[in-house]
Amino acid sequence: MRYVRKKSWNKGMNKNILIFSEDLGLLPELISGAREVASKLGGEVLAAVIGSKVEGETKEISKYGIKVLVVDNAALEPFDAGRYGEVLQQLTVNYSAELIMIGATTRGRDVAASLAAKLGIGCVTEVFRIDLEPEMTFYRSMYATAIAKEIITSSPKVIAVKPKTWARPETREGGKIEKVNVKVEPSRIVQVSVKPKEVIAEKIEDAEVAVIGGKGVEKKEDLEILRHLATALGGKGGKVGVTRPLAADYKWMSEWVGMSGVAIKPKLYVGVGISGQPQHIVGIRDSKIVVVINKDPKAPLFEVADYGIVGNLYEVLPLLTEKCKK
Amino acid sequence: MDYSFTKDEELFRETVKEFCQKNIAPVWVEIDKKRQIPADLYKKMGEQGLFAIPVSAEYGGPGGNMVLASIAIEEIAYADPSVAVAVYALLCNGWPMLLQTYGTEAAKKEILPHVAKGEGFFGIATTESHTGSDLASHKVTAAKDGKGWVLNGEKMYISGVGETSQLPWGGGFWATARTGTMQEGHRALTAYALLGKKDGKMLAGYEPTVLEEIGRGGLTTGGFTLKNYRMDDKYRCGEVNQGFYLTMEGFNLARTVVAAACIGAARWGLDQAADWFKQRKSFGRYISNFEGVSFKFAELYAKLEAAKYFVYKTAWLADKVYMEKDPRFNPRDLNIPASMAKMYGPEVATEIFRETMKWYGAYAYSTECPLYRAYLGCFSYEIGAEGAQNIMRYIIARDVVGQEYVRW
Amino acid sequence: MPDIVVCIKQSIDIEQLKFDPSTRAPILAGAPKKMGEMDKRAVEEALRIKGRMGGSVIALTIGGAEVEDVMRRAYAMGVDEGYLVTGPELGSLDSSTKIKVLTAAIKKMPHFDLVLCGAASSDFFSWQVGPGLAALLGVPVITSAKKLDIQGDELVVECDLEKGTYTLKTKMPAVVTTTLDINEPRVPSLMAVLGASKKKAKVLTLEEIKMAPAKPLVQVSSIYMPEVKRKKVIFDCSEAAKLEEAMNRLIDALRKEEVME
Repeated sequence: MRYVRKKSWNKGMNKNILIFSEDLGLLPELISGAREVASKLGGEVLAAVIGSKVEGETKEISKYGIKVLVVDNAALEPFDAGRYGEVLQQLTVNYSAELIMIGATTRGRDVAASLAAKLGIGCVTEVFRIDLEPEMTFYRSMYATAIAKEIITSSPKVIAVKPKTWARPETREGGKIEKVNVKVEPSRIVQVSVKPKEVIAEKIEDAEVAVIGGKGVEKKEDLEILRHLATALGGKGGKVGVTRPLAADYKWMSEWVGMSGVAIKPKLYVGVGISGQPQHIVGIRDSKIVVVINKDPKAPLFEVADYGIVGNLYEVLPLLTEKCKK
Repeated sequence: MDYSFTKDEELFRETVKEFCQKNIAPVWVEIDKKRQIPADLYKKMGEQGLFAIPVSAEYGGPGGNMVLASIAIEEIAYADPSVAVAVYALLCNGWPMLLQTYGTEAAKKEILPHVAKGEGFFGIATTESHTGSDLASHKVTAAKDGKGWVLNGEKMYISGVGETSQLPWGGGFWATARTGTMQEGHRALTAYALLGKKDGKMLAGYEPTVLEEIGRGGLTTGGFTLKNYRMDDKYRCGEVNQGFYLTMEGFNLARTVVAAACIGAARWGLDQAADWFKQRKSFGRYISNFEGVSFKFAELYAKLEAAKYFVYKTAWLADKVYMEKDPRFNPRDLNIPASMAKMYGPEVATEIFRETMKWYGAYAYSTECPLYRAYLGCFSYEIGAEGAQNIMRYIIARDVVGQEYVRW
Repeated sequence: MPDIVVCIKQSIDIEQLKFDPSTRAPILAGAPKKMGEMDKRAVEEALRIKGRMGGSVIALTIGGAEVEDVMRRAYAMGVDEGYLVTGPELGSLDSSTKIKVLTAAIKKMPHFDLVLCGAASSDFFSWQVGPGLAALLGVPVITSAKKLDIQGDELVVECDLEKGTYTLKTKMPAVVTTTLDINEPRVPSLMAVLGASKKKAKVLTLEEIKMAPAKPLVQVSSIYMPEVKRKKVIFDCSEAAKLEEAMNRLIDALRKEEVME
C-alpha cells in the first residue's frame, strides 16, 4: 500500500519514538525506555493505541503524561498483525518516528516484523537492553544463552522489547489524546474463541525466593514439598514454579520458567530435580544466588550453581526445610 | 583417501541418534533391570530401518550396507550402553547379511522380510556346551531325511533364544551341524538357516531354554535341544560340508558390528567420565587437574578412536567385498581387520568402563550408577561372545605370519 | 488439496555450540548444524496435511553451503519438491534480507495456498520470518500455531498466547508459523534417507528471482557468552551421613549471602 510521504521523512530528520503494545498492560514500562531514547534524539514519545472501542484504555495511558495516538475502528477487531502493521506504518510516516518500540508479546513481535517488512527497514526482536552511546545498540539473546549486540542501520528502526526491561514510570500531568483517522483495511482474522489461561501459576516473576521443580519431581502433589521450602526460605516472598515439561506436557502449572516462558530474577533460586537445559538456564541467569539440588552429579545445572547439593530431593528438601525454620 | 562419511551416512547417523534418544536412551536402565526389551520397540526399530540393513529391498530390507549398519549399531549402543538392544540389532544385521549372500532364494524370501520388520530374530547358533572356539568339534548332527534334513543335538549360550520364542513371527539362527565324521573336523560341517519358530508357531523338535546372565540382561541367552528336528533342504545354506567356511565369513561380518557396539557404549562411558571431571573436585581442584587422571583419559580417548577406525575400515572393506563385489578384494581379506576390530573394541570398552568407574569412586559401586551395566555388557565380548579374544589373536597371527608357523 | 510451501533453515545446534573461553565469542566455524526444531514441525505439519487432504509440499530454503543438508532432511521426511536459493552472498543474512529473498522465491512458484514455517529458528530466535513474509506477500498471518486444521479454503488455528488459547480462522492463501507443541516430527527411516539422496532440488539464483544483493539492515556488532561467575560449591550428599553436615553448611552460606528470611 502507498503511504503519504512527509517532506521531513528522511534519514536524520526524524526524532520521535513511537511505542505500541497490543497488551496495554506492558505499554507504561515502554514509556520509561522511550523517554531515555527520546532525550538523546531530541524528540517526543508517542504511544499508539490501536483497536476497536479502545477509549477506556486510551485514558489510562494518557495518565503517564505522554501523547497518545488513538486509532479506533471496528475494522481493527480482531487483531490482524498485517493490518496493525499497516496502521503503525502510517503513524510512523505521519509522526516522524525514528524508533518504533513494540512490546514483545507474541502478537507484538508479529506486528514489529510486519511493519519492518512493509517499510523495508531493520527490526530487532527480544531486546532487553538499549545502549545509547556511542551509537544506539540493542541487546538480545542469541543461541539461547549468549548475548548479541545489534545495530539497525536503517532509518527508522523497529524493535520488539521484552517485558520488564524497564520499570513502570510514575503517573504525571501533560498527557494528550489525539484521535487519528487512518485508512484501514478490515481484519482478515476471525476470532472463534479464547480460552483464558487457567492461572495455576504463582506470579513466579515477582518471587524473592523461587523454588523451581523439574522432571526429578515425581508427581504434582510433591510440589507441596517445594512450597514448604519456598516458605521456609522466603516467607511470603517464596514461590514455586516449574520447568517447561512440567507445564507444557504434564500441565501441573500454566506457566514455566525458561526461555519460551517466564524469566525470573529472584534473590535466591533453588532448582530441584532440574537437569539444566540451556533454555531453562537463560530464564534464571539473573538470579543473585543459585542453589541446585539434583541426585545426578553430572546435571548441567550444577555448572551455573553457587551452591549445589548432590542428593535425593525427597530426602534433602524436608531436612533443609526443617533446618531453615530453626 | 577420504576419511569423511558421506552425506547419507551423516544424515542417517543423525536420524538414528534422534530415534535412540527418544525411544531407547530413556529406558535402557529399565531394560537392563527388567531384563526385557519392550515389545513395541522391535517394530519401531524395524520401521526405522535398523534391522537387516545390508539386505536389499528385494528381500524386504532397507537396502543399506555394512558401514550404515555399523553407524546404526554404534548409535544404538550409545543410547543403550548395556548393549542389549545393540546386540539384538547387530545379530539381526550381520547374520541376515550372510543369509542374503549364501542362503537359497526361498529361505531368504521367507525369513529376511520378517527380520527387517522387527517381527523375527536371526542370529547365530554354533556354540555347544563343550565347544565354542573349536567349531570343528561340533556334535550336533544333520542327516539326510528324504529331500530334507533331520537334526539332533544341543546348542548352548545362544543369544536371542527367548526373542525367537516371543516375537510375533518367530525367528532362528544361522547354525552349523555335522554332516560327516568327527575325524573330518571342520570339513564336515554344513550351514543351515535353522528356525525355532515360524509364522507364529513353535517348530517341532526345537526345545529352547533360557539362562540368566550377569549382564546385557535385556537380551536373552540360552540354548536349545534338537530332537529329530526336520527341515526342508531350502534352509540349507551353501554346499554340503562347506558350512565352516561360510560361517567364518559370517563371523567377520558379525564381529565388525560387535566392535561397533562396543565403541558406541565406550563412547558413552568416556562422555560420562568427561562430564564427571567437570563436576568433581578433590583437594581443591578438578580431579582431571591431576595428570594421573587426565593422561589416562587421553590414552583411553586415543584407544577409542583407534577402535573406531578398525570398525569403519573393516565395514568399508566388507562393503567392497560383498556389496560392490570389487574384484580386488575377497572375503578372506576380512579375516585380519575383523579380528582386529573384535579383539580391540571390547578390550578398549571394558578398560574405559573400569577406569571411569574408578574415577567415579564409591558412587560407581552403587546400583544407582549405571556404569556397571555397561561394563558387564561389553565384558561379555571380552569373555568371548562372538569369538574368543585369543582366537582373534590366532587368526591375525596365522594370516600375517603364515598358517604353517602358527597353527597348533 | 492445498499447495503448501514450507520455509526451512539449517540452524546451529545450540546444545553443541562451544564458546572461546578467552574471547567468550561463539566458535561458529565447524559448529554442528541441523534443521531447526520448529522448522521440522512445520515440515511435519505440511506432510500430515498432505496425508489427509492431498496437495503438494514444497520445501524452500536460502543460504550458503548448508542448504544441501537441510534439503536432504526435508526430502527424507517426504516433501515433494525442494527449492534452494543459494550463493556465497547468502551465507549470513539479517532477517529483513531473508524475508525479501524468500518472498521473491515464493513469487517464482506457480501457486501456493499456505506458507508454513517455524515460529522462530532454533539459533537466532528472531520470530520475524512468518509475519514478514505475510506482509510482503500481502496475505494474513497467524503465528505460534499449536494446532492447524483446514476446512475448505479456511484455516482454523489454535495458538497459545500470553493470555490464553486462541482459536482463530482465516482464509487461504495465508502464512502460519508453528511452535514446538504442534506435532512430533517423524524421524526419517534409513529407507527414506537413502531415497532422499536420489532427489535433486531446484536451484534459484538471485538473478532468477529478480533480487539484487542488498545491504543488511541489521548488523551484529558482537556475540558473547556473559560471564557466569558462580561459586560452584557442591556438597555431595549421596550418603545419608553427609546430608546433615551439608545442610548446615548450606544454610550458613545462604544466611551469609543474605538471601534467606
